Amino acid sequence: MVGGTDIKRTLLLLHTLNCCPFCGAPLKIVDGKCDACGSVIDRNLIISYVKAKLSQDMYEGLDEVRIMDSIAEASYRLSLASEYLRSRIIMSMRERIDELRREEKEIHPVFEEISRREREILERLESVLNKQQEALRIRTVDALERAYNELLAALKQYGRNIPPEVLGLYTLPDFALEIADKYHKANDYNNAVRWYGFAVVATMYPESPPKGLPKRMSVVHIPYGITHIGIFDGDFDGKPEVFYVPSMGVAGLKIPCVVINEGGVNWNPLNGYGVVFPIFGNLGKYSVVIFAWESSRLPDAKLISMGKEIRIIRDSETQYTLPTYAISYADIDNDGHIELIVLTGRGKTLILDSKDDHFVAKVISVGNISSIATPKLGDVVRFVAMTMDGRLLMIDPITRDVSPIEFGFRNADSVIISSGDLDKDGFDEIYVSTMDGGYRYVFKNGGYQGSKIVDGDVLGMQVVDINGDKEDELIVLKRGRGLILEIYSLRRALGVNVLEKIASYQIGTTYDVARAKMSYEAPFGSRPIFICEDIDLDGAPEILVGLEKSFLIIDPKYA
Amino acid sequence: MCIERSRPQFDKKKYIEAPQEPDVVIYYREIGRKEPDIIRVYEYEEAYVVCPTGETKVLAEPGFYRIYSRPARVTWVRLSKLTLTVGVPSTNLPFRYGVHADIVLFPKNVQMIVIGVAKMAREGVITIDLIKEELRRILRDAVLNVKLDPNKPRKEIISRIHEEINTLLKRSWLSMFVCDVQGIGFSHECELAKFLEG
Repeated sequence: MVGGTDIKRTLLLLHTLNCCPFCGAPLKIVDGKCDACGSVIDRNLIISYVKAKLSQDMYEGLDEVRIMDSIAEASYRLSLASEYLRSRIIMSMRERIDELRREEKEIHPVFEEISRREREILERLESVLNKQQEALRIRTVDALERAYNELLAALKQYGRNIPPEVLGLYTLPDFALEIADKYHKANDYNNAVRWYGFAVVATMYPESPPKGLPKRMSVVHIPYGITHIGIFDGDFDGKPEVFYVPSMGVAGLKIPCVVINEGGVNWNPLNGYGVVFPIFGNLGKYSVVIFAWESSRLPDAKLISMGKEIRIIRDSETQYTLPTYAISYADIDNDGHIELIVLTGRGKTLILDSKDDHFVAKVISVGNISSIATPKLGDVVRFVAMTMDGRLLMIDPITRDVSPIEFGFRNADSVIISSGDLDKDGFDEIYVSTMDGGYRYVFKNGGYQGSKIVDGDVLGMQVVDINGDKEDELIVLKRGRGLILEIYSLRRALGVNVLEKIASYQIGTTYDVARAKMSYEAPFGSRPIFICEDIDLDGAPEILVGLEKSFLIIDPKYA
Repeated sequence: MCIERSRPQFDKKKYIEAPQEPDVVIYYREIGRKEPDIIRVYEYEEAYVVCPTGETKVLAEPGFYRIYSRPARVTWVRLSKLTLTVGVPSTNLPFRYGVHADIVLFPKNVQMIVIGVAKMAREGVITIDLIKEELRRILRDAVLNVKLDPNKPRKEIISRIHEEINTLLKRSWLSMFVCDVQGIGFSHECELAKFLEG
C-alpha cells in the first residue's frame, strides 16, 4: 500500500491506462491480475507504458515498484469510490427501483442512469483533483480560487451523493489547509472550520489499515481549541461522526457544533441555541440527549430530546437547566444504559441516570474536577477524578464513597486521566498525563499503586492497539522540541511487567502549541482532551488532541 | 409475521449484521433463540427474513428490526456490489480479441434467494469472487453462442448478449438474479493492447 498523496496523484494518471489489454475492461489490478478477466498483468508492460505515455514530472519520485503499487492501490480505491457512489445513487433512486421491481418492468434504464451519474461525478471529481494539483504547483491566489470554485461547484451539484470517503480521495489535504488558513486569517471562522473539516477528511481518506507500526503520522492542526467533543454514529450509517464544539477563545468565533470528519458541516438541530452538543446512546427512554446552551457566555445548559426539555430531579427538586462545564458518559451502574456525568462547578459533579422521561441526579461533592475516567475493575465500574487542587480520587458511583489514590499533582487543571487494561488482568489501570510526566496506577490488592513511567511534559496517554496485532499498546503524546508521539508496549522481563518504547514520531504542527487548562471561569474555553479512537474504521485509531486554542487530529499511516 | 421495527441500538453486541468485509455480497444466517433478537440492515442492503412459519418478509428499508419469533433465517444482499465488470480474455476465446461486459445483477425472485441461498447452511457468505467466476463462465458461453461480431452496431451486440446471458443465468446458481447488460467492450479498443502488440 502506498501513501495517500501517491494514490491521489496516480488517480490522475489512470485514465491514460484505463483498460486491460486482454479484455478491454477498465483496469483494476488485484493481486497482479485484471479484476474483470483474471489475466495476469505484466508489470513491465505497465511501466513501459507509463514511461512512454507520461511526462517525467507526472511520475517523478516513484520508482518502478511504487508505480505498480500505486497504480494497483489507486485502481482499487477508484473501484471502492465507484461502489460508494453507486450505493448513494441507488439509495436516492430506491423508490423507483422498487416500483420497477414490483411491476416487473425493465431495470435497464434505471441502472443506465445510475452508471451515467456515477461516471459524471467521477469525471467531475477528477477535474477537481487536477485543479487542486495545479493550484498547489502554481501557488497563486487565482489558481487557488479556480480550484476552490471547482470543488464547491462539484459539491453543490453532487454533494448529497459524495460520501466522505470519496471526497477525501479527491481532495488534497494541503489544498484544503491552504484555503482554511486563508479563511482563518480573514476572520471567517465558519468557512475556516468547514475547510479544516475538508482537510480532516482528505487526511483520513484513503484509509490506512494497520500493518505493524505506523510509518508516519499525518496531522491536521485546527487553530481553535476543543470545549466538547464526542464520537458517535449519530446517523446510523455505520461510520462514527466526530461532534466538535470549538472553544470560544477566538474573538468572533461562534459555531454551535460541527461534524468535523464529514467536511466540517454545522450541526444544530435546535433553534434558538448558540451551542449544542449531543450524547448518543442507550439512555433509557432516549437514544440521544442534546445539551443546549442559549448563549456562549453562560454555562447553563438544557437537556433536550425529541424536541422537549428533559426534567432533572435533584434532591427532590425539579430543574430544567444545569451549569455544564464538561460532559462524559458511561454505564456506571451496569444496568445496560449509559449515565451522563456532568461537571457543574461549585465543587459538584452530577451523575444523571434516566428514569422514565426524566433524569435523576446524584451529586458527588469532592471539589471541582479537571478530568475524569471510568475504569472497569472486573465487573464493576469506578469513577476516578483529578480535582483542580491536585487530588486523584477513586469514587464508588453507587455509594459515593471516596478513596484517595494520590495527592499533590501540580497544575492539575491541565491534567488528563484515562483508563485501560494494558496488562490484561481484567482491572483497568489509570494513566495520568501531567506537565511533570506520565503516571501509571495499577490496581493491586484492592487499591491503586502507581509510579511515573514517562518523563517530560505529557499531553496525553491512552491504551489502544495501534499496530493491528490485537494487543494493546500505550500511546503517549509529549511536548519537547515540538510534539513527540511515543508508542510503548508492555512485556514481561525481570519477572515483572516492563514498558518498552517501541516507536517515536515527531508531530509537525502549523502553530505553536500549549497545554489547555480546565477552567470554571470560562465555560467555553479550551479543554485538555486526548482521545484515541478509530474514526475512519480502518482498524487503526485516530488521535484527537485538545490544546490551548488548538485541535490536533493525528492519523497514523502505515505505508 | 415474526419481525417488527426496533429502536436503534448502539451496542454492537446487541444486534446482528452482515459482515462488513468488502468482498461479501450475500450473507445468510439462521438466528437462534439464544442469539441477539435484533438485526440491522444498512442503506445499501436488502434483507430477506424467513419466519418459523415459513413466511418471507423483504426488508428494503434500512434500520433495526426485532425478530420476535425464532429461529428465523435471514439473508442480506448488498445491492451496490451487484454492478460488475467481467471479462473474458482473448486467450480464452477463439477470436483475436477479448470481451468485457458491464453487468448489473438484481435480486428478483425472493423465494429463489431463500431456497437457493438461505437453506444451504446455518451461516455462510457468497463473495464477489464467486459470483464473478460464474459470470465469466456465462459471458464466455454467451459470446460463443451468439457468434459475436464486433463490427455490428453496439446496441445490437448488447441486446443479443443481454438476452443470452439472461437465458444462461436462469440455468446457473445465480438464477435468483435478473441481469442487465449495460455495456460491452473489446480488447482491441484498448490502447494498452495496441502497445502490447508493439
